Amino acid sequence: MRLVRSVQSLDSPVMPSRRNEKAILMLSRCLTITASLFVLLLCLTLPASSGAADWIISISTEHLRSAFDYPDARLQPLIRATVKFEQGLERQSEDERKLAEAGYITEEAIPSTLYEDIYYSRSIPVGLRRFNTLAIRPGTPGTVKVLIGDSQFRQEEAHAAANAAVRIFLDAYLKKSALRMIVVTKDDFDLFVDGMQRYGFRRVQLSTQGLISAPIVVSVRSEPVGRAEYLSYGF
Amino acid sequence: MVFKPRQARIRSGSTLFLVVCVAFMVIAVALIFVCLYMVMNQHRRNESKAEGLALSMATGINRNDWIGDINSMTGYSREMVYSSRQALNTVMKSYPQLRPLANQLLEESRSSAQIVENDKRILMTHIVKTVVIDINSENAAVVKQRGLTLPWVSTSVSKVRSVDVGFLSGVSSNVRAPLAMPDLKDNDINQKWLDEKSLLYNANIKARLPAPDDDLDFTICSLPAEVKETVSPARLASNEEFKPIGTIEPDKRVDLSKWTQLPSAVLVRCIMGMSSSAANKKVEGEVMVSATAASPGATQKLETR
Repeated sequence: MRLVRSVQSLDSPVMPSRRNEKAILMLSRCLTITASLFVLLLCLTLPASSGAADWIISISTEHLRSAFDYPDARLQPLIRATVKFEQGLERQSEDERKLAEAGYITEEAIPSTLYEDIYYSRSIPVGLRRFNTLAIRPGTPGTVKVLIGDSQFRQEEAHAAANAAVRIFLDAYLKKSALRMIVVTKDDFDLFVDGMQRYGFRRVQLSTQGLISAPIVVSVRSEPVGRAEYLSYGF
Repeated sequence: MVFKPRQARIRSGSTLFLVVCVAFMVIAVALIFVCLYMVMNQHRRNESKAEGLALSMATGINRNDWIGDINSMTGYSREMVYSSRQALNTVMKSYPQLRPLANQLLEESRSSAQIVENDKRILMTHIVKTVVIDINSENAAVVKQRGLTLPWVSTSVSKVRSVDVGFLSGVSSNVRAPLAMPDLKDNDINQKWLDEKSLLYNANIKARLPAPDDDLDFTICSLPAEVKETVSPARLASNEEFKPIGTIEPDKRVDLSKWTQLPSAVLVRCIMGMSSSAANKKVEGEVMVSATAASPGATQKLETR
């Protein structure tokens, strides 16, 4: 009987497929358990920490009418460029907010803060009053928004805004933060770009591959949309 | 006892003579007092006129806060040069590709210091012209007026002889300490240019920057600062507090090269002629009256609030 059984087992095709089935079943069970554990792990951990949003620096210019109004004053017309910065967080969970309040994590949104006033006379900077250090997070990119005043000295105000933007570009660069884009009102776009060109920024054209081989490139856009330029420094 | 009529007449005549003499003496003394009172009154009016003139001129030299604004701009120019230099130092160490840009911004800032100092000279010229106009118009107005004429003494109407411009001792400047440049602030405190308690720069200084920008002049003059949005008004002061910078006289040229600072106070000198004649002798002299006034203090209208 044993011999017959053993001969039968040698000849029978059923035994190997049963082994395979078992193996496959075992493998699928292992995979299912692993996947479940993985999903469970994902669900139980905290969401990834919030990324810092881009910083925004706003520059607004104004003609100070009542300053230096004595005869033959060279400091008139006096233009003031007011610079403010802010930086938000992309997302902040309730737990993160509590941790930030308790001081366990340092990342928190920076509200609109007055950075400095820069004064200009006949498109030349004549003074600077700094109120706070530039507290944007190092290594984060940002945008400069320019709002030019509505006085009779439009050209002077545009050039003042351009100089302020160049100074902000340098200040941000020294904090390892890249200036991605400058947004300017459409009416003052050309005057502003001319002002930046006085500091070595040059208009560049995008190649067909869309690449610009220049060390530093800043995009200038108008608001409302319609005008756009790429300016490079060191090209 | 029987009095003869002649003796009685002589006695009553003597009494009358005595009464008349006494009356003349009383009238003479009264006249002298009246003369003295009128002369003193004239002197007081001249003093009051000098004080009014001093206040008016002091207000005029800082009309629209010109001196406060240019003093503040001196501080701002200084901050700009310092921050541009700091940026260039960092660029030289770590970002040499930005050196031309940082250099250009620094050179611009350095030239701004000269622009501000040049405008101070223009303002000084304007202050001199304003004061000369005030002196001439005041003296022209008094030509038509008559002085005091009394039996033994006469006076002329007072005229402005000269106006000294300067500052009041003990008054610091309106230039405030840097808010976001701690190194510069510490440097200025150590150099005794900046008062650590009030955080205002001292008056009448040349606040030089650390080398290599120590070749630039940043002259800061005396002017009361704004305190909690309250601006100091023009006020009278004692002559002892006044320190002169220069003198302005009508029909005389003013040498502005000797003016080291912008003024924030004036001392007006007026003279009144007096003459007295008695016993065919005439004595003439002058009485001088003077008044000091400080100009209105600075505002902070240049800064964003």
